[in-house]
Amino acid sequence: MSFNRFNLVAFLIFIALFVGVIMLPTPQTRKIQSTILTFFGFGTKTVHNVTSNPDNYNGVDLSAEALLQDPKKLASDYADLYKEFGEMKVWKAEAKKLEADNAQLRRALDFKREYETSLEIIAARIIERQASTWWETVLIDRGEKHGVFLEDPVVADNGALVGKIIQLAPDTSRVLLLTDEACQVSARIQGTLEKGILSGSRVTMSDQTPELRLKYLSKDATVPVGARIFSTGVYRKDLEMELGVFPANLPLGNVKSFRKRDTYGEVVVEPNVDFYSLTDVFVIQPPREKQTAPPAKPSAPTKAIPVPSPLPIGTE
Amino acid sequence: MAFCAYVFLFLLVTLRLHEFIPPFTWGYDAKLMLFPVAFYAAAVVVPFPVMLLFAFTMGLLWDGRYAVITGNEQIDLEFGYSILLFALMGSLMQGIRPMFRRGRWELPVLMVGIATMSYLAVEFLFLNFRRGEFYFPKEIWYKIWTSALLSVLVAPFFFLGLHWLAKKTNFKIRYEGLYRYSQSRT
Repeated sequence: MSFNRFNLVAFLIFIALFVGVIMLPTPQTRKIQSTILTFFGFGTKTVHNVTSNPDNYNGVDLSAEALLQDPKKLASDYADLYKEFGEMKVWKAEAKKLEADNAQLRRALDFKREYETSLEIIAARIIERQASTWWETVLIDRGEKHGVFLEDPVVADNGALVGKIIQLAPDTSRVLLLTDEACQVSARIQGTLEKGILSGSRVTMSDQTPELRLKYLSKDATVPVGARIFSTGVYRKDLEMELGVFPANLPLGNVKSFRKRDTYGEVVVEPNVDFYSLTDVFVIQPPREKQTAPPAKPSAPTKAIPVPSPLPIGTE
Repeated sequence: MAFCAYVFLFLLVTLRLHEFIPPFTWGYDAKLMLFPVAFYAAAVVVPFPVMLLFAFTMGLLWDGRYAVITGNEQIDLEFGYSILLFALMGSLMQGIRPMFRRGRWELPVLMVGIATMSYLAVEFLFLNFRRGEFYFPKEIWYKIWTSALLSVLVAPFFFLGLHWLAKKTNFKIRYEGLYRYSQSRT
């Protein structure tokens, strides 16, 4: 390679373009990512359908062949589920009643904020996982067209937090998992006054159980092992709105151990989600979206999709 | 220039295929870096300006696919950093064009491994710098080394393919420096 005039001009153009890309504001880069995801997301669903078992639900094989192997167990599971379904219907009716009572009491307390209690929930399937080298992300088969927005929280069927939406295309979206260090959640420990920031590790090997870290606790905090950890949400009383990405009270994990760092206390947390057998997730839209919907969001109304009851076949 | 167009298409195809390659759990989640290997192999055979063009477009597509942007501020690597990394590694590969031209494949193949290793190590160091708290466990070294070794294993096939394509399209892999040197001698 010699640095002749042509090469020099090409080099200068390259530098100018590179600086231009680096200086792009975040909304522009998000737009570029969305376009590329739309273009490259094409065919991912098809490949996923061909290469994976569509009857696998979070690690449980629900294919007809697997279920019919033991008809007695199938009948017993079906009876249990039917019973549970009946109970759920009763619970649903009870929840509706409580929701109405709650709204009435809030009005009685003269709450200025119209608090919407029913969440929009969109069921989605993971179609690609861990495509990048250092980041813990998955691709789901629901996107802008289905009512998914950027930064929407994603939960598992037990209601525990899985991550948040970071890239959006019409048919697909990318989720940054809670096990990634870049996904940070304000969290509290149940039964204590301790609050901190929960995040994943910089490096998580897939043959190891992922661990989360709850940082910036009091150095002398008394934290019981096994205590549950929930998201705190961020509510600004003066603005009367939720500002955080994650709604309050989403289960995150359980305390595994506590250790003192130089200036703060840190808890090692065992997540409530088995990230490696996860196949189906739910995108939720927090109530704050009703009031603070940004103009960039699509105007098409989203339908509330009921969350299917968990299917722990053969378990209590 | 038909050769360069075909190589561009070839890179797009490998970028698409790269997504479907799972990490190897036996190798500390190392991954076959299919697309970077294809880019490094292509960087050896195309002229410098074309290499820069490839580095720009492919770096942009790579970041568009994999860069993580959270919230309104980018807390991780700047969008577009891959453009620079690809250009740097591509320039490194350009340095061994004379050997490739003479039909010597050993060093280019080895260089693909070195470039892959450098790319991953620099990327992880950037991440450390951006997030604070230096952290470089041995598992990361194993992961990077395994990825580099896998790259070395597949690189000959890419060079073979590019050689075949160059022959089919009558593309001559020139080295401007040598070319000018030989011109001045005659």
